[in-house]
Amino acid sequence: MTFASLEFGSLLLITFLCYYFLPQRGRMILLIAASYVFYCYWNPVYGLLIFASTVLDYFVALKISRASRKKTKKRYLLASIIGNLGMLGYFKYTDFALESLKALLGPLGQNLPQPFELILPLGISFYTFQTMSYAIDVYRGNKNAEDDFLLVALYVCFFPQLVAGPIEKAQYLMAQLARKQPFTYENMETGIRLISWGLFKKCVVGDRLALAASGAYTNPEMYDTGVLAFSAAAMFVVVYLDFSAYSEIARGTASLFGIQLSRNFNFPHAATNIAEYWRRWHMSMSRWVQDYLFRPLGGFNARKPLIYSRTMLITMGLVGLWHGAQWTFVLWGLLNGVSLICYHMLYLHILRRYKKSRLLKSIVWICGSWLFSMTIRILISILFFSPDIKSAGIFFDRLCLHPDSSGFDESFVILGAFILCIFWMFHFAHEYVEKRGGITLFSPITRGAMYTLLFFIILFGAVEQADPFIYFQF
Amino acid sequence: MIVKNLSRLIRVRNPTSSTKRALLWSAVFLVLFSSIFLIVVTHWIDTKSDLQRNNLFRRGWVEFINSTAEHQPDETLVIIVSNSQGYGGEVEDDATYASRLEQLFAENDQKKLRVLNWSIYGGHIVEMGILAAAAKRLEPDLFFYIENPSRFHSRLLRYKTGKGRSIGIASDIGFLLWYSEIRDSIPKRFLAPFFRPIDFFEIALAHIFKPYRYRELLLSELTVPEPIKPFDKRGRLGLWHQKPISREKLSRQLRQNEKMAKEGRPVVKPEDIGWDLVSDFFRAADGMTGEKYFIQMPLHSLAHKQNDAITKYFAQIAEESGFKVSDFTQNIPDEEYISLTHLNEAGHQRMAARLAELIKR
Repeated sequence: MTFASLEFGSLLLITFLCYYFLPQRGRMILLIAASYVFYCYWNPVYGLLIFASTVLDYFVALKISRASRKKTKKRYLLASIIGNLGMLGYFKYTDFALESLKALLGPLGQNLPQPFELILPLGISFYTFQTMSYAIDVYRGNKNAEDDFLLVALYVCFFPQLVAGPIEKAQYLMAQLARKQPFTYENMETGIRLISWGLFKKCVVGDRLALAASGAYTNPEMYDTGVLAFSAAAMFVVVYLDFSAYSEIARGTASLFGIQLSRNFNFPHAATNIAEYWRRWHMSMSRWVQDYLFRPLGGFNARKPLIYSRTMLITMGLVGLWHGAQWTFVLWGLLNGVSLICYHMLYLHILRRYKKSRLLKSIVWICGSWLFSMTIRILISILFFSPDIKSAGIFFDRLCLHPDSSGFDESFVILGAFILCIFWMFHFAHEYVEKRGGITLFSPITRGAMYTLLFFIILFGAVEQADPFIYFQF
Repeated sequence: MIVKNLSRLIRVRNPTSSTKRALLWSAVFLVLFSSIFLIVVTHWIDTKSDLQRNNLFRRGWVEFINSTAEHQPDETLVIIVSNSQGYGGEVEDDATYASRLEQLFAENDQKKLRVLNWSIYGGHIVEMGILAAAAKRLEPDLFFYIENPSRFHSRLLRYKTGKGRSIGIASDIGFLLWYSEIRDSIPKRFLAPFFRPIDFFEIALAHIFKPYRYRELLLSELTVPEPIKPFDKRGRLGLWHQKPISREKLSRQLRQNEKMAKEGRPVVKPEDIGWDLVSDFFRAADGMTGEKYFIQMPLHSLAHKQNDAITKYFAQIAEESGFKVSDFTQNIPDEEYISLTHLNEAGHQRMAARLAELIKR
């Protein structure tokens, strides 16, 4: 069940209408039931995986909190990590490993079994990370183990953020889920606003832009440089629209139930360097990676650049692999790691010394660095959308090394620029309003008109059948 | 003045918070905008547009039924049910092979031949079965079913996985199911994809919130499946429309198929096929008065490799169900394709000529 469907709309409406009439316990059961309906609508069997993950981490967390010896705690934590990563690894990486091994061994690999052609359970990468963080936080003493099984179950399966985040820490989300949330019109308005804005971004702008831009990625050899440049830039925006739309609908949906989820994006395309970009992009994931992977592996250390570089490459390589079981994603992660390392080195050795200089504060420098880092990010993102490394190579070759503009058709640029301009105007306005106190700056009558207008734009401007959210596949 | 009074009204009755007022204003605007919208669009449809709606508020089959309801005694009525090749999205309406066939007979001043092109872009076995059942009420003299059996599995799979309903025009097939004789002459399981709870919800929504019924109508106008041609000044197809596939890609597809066959992996796995659905499909045309033909559709030479078991099975079931079987697989030269399966104007012309020969025979 995807957010942009009538099925989801019906489920949300029924759940919302019942929610505030129930006692706290009843509310939790209702949300768990809605979450399992939401997930099992796609494939009932895979609901068992979430249940297994819940049971595992519920008991592991209890055992960790009750164990007195550090070694025993560690053993239980290991059980949780092996269980969760084992599940993730089996469904997501078995076929990838078999295919890679076969390719690597050549004729020797003929005896290896055929790929199992496993179907990846929806959102497994997200809920696995979320449940793991609970066990790790209990182990670290940041969170007490929860006795209430229903609360843990709801934390794992809470449907607004089940399949594509934001990945929430237990101490933040469980505290809210455990409390009886009062009905407020403010939450309702926030919910409606965020859901509408997310649907607009996804169904009206993102999916339409993807319709025009995604074709070039499957057959880059068929398109001239102009189209490839447009496709690269447009798909870079599409992934943001798609994922941030999901996050906003998730936040809006949770808000209807009085739950506040954290912001996942902070206008990443305004970042003027790659480090800032990663601080603004998929923030819940960045925080998770920083807390549970990057820092334990060594973290940032200005005095030991080699160790820092190694840690960064491992982290970003794994982030790439987390996105998808393909070498394109691994390479995408590694290239992001390399550019982060380059930026940090440049910052430490040069930029830091002159950061108060006029040059670095000038508009020319800011625009120049924005353009430069944007170009780098777009070029790296070619790997993200290409079906394989060879296609990415052809794409890059035709775009940068051997440009062919013989069949260049400027209508693509006009169309793309038009859609993008309209969207950015909306987006800048939205961000501007958010930064200055939110929608309440406007009078009720203006807000009412804006919501209605947005509703009609979505109703008639949305694509007929929305594409699945890109991050669902991860 | 009105706005001021309304504002006062809302403020007096609900003086709680600005949020509450904003939500109430939304409701007021929703009713207001909807009413204006309905007046404008209804007026446009009634006076300017030649579009018609069926009783599910969808575009398409009403005009279709109106124009085909009568089978004139002095004409030969031909119905063609096919996929995107027959639909001919890449050529003008009067250049599809169905139109060309009609024109060929008109030019030669022979007995009047009327051809109804019931091809569906991305058509589905269930939809085509319903069309076959629907064709019976028009008592056609000739019924052509033109399909590629080795690609038929994808539609079967879509049916088996429950994702049975196609978009756009195909969804209007649901309208045909309101005719009891059509409903009765197809297997019950063919009905399942059209009677999902969400469809009733959608219809209810269209009744309660009237502008909703125009959503699909406007979308059909704006998007599926025509390319947005105005953006291309040189008359070429839009980017999102099907473009000619490069020879490299065609070869790659073929190599992949050959590799799978060598490894013992058929292109279509027999277990994926709902074999009984195939016979159900052909049975849906039982009782048709005219001649019935099953034609294996023409394919680019690089796509000739067929899944023999499936092709033979189709031909066998078709013959058992009273269809005459013809193989057009290799009838069109490669230069008249724009992809592995889609034809250009010359290809449609040639296909029409081949069908005309078959009819004359």
